[in-house]
Formats: sequence, structure tokens, C-alpha cells
Amino acid sequence: MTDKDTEFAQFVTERAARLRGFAYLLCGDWHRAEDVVQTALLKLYRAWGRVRTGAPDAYVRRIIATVLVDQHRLAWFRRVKVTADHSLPEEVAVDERADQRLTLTRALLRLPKRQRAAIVLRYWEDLPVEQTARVLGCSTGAVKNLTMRGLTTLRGLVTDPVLESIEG
Amino acid sequence: MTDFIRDALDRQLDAAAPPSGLTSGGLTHLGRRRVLRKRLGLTGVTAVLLAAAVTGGLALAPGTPDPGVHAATTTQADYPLPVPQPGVEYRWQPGNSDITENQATRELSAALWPLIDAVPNATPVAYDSNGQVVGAPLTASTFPSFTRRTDRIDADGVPTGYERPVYTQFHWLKFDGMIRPDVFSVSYRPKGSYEFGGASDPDNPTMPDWRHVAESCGHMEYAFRGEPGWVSDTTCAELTGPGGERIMTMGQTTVAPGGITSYSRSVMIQTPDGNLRLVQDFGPTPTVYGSDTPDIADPRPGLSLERLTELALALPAVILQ
Repeated sequence: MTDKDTEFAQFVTERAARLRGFAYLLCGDWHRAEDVVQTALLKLYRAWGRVRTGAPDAYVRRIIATVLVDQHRLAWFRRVKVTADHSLPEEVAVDERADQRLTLTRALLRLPKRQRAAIVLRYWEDLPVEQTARVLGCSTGAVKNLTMRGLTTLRGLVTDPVLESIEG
Repeated sequence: MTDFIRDALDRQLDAAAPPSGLTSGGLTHLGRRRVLRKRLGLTGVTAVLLAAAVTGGLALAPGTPDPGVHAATTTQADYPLPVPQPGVEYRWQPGNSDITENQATRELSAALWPLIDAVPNATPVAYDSNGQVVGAPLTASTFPSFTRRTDRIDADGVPTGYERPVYTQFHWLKFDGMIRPDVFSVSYRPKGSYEFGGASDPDNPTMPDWRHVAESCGHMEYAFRGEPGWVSDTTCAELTGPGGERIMTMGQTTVAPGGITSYSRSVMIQTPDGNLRLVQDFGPTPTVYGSDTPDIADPRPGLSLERLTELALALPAVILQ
């Protein structure tokens, strides 16, 4: 193995599981998540010489977010695929009584994808607003707006007092 | 509070995650093979591109600004795309609308409203995210204006310095007898900043290749958001306009798993000044929010490809800067 390969392999060992979780939270499908993470990591391998000393984690996250927060079909798919977003509150409320953790994950997966991505990056990955904006390719103001709206929706889906106190 | 979200999600992921097939050794091996394959495949392509760049005077490294970009105000400046480097991934990063009004947005907005207002049996409306028409039909004073944004190109996640202006407008257009409106959009891209026609990203075929504005024509089967079984058919035709414009019409039919079908129509026009106009009409959503049962029997776009082409040709040529 070359030095490049060794460094890359170490990065994969340390970060693959977390990146797979990130992709899952964006798409809600483990197989899709694994496919996207593999694609992103292979792109990272190609670019390793350029990004190894920078922020390879951010590079991979950006690829994952771009693939899963599909920009090109946004106008059309938002209208077709958003349907479940509006039918879920009752369903979630039933789950909540059984399993609080499941409720939060399912509620998160019902958010519009950019709101979901902003929430995941800000509160699960713990990224500052500026880095979240870079991953999503938008302004910091847009991130704050997405986060605020996402949290507002989450509060409607999950009636948990802790969530209600979170600032957007 | 943030900890609450992180901890709750971590616990859920730990409990739900299936075994992973991702291994460092496997990915490194696969990565090495792909790099080797790409290098071998790109040798000939690179030579052709370099030759074209030198003979065409386009020997720009990624990120080198075109000297004419900011100088010209009466003729359209050229925004030649970076010459692709082997093994580098290029990706657009669309910016936010940075100019809400300038000469071009005023000219475009003034020209578009009468064209839309004259569409028979159709009413431009405002539409909210819950799928409801809100307020009165749009008028000349409430019709959305064009806006300008700056898109940049990143190479392997690093800004190249390349930027181009993009002018866009979209609105909802409700046709008589339809219970939901079409989405109608117009965008302009400057000379040199695109390749004409459709081509898909090799790694993500439902997305355009970074140099193009539309994905490939033809038949496509793919998974969307982890859901396989999506099928898309795009029929394309290339024409020549009355003023020598290069025109491509694209009619797309998309069938979701379960058989729900949606339609869109697009027309791209390369005008003699080198700029590109993309005019699109997305048919109404075939289902109401929260339902998997279509309630529109024929959700095709209200405007035919011929009418879209006429409308696109009637829009003005403007200097994009």
C-alpha cells in the first residue's frame, strides 16, 4: 500500500460508519445510504491528494448531501414526493407512545429534505452554521431559516418538551 | 438540547443499522482500479481537449477569469468553462439571488408577463407549500420578477474561481379545468458557460453532467431516495429557429413506483449571441398531498412543445453579466 492508500484506508475505518449514518438520516434507506457513501468515498479516493490536508470529511459530506438532496428535480419531485410529509403527524404520535427514539428519527425523516439536512448537520453532526452552509451550498441565512423551519415542524411532529425549548 | 437530538439519533442508529459492506481495504482497492481506468480512458480525451483549447484560444486553467467578462457591457461576454483536468470532479455551487433588479431582469420581467398573460385558458397564481392556491390571480404588478444569481464551479470541493451569472424566474400557472397548477420556469445562461443538449452525470444519471443543463435523452431506470423502480423517458428533437437559433425540445414522462405518471416539457434555445434560454413547463402533480391515488386523469403540461418554443423565441435577447 502507498502512503495515500494507507491514509485513505485509515480515514475510511474511522469515518465510514458515521458517514453511513449521516446518509441514512438524509434518505431513510440503509441500502441507498451505503451506495451513496461508497460513491462519495470513491470520489474522495480520486481527490485524496488534493483534499487530504484540508477537510476530507466535509468533502464527502458535501457529495452525500448533493446526491441525496437532489437539486435538479427539486421543483417536480417536491410536489410528488412530499405527500407523506403531510400525512404523518397522527402516525408519529402513535409511535411516540411506544418509543421516543423511533419517534424522533421518523419525524426527522418526514421533514423536507433540505430542512432535514440542515437539522442533521447542525444538531447531529454539530457543525457550525458556516460549515453547514458550505455543505448545502447555500448562505448562512438560508441555513438558519431551514433549521428554524425544520425545528418548528419537528416540534409539531414530536410533542416533547425538550424539543419545544430548542431555538431555531 | 442539541445533545438530546444527537444522543437520541445515535441510539436509534446504533440499534437499527444493518451490517455494513464498506471496508477500508475494499474501497481502497476499488478506488485504485477506478483511478487507473479513468487515467487510461482519459489519455485520448485530454489530448483532444488541450488541442481544442490552444487552437480556440481557450487555454484557461480552471479558475482563470475571462478577461472579457467584466469589460463588455454592450456585447455578450464569454464565460468559457474550465478545461477539465483528469481525475478532478467538477460541481456547480448555485448561489443565492444576489441582484434583484438590473437592466436584464427588468427587460426579461417586462417581456415575460404579457406572454404568460396571453396564454389561453390559463391563470398565473400563487401557490403555497401546502398545495393550496393562495390569494387572487397574479397581475402585472404581482407577477414574480426575474432574479440574478451567481453560480460557481468547485473542483474536488475547492472553488476554482469560475463564476457565471444565471437569470431565472418561476411561477405557477393554473389551466382551466385543472385542480392544481403547472410549474413554469425560465432561465438564461451566458455564452460559453454550458454545453448545448442533454447529457447525464455518469455517477448520477438523473442529474445533468456539470457542463449541461439537462440530463440525457432516452430511457432511464433508476432509484430515487432509495426507492427503486422509477422510469423516465425523454424524447428530444433538434430544430433550427427562424433567426438561426439552435433549438432542442424535450418531452419527459416519469413513472413512479406504483404507476403514478408525471410529465414535463422543456425547450432550450441557443441564440445567436451565444446565450442559452431554458423554458420548462412541469405538469400538475397527479396526486393530492397525502395521497397515492391520482385525482388528475391527464396531468400533462398545459403548453405544447410548439407553444413553449414560440414563447421562448419571443423572449428578448439580453446582456447577461
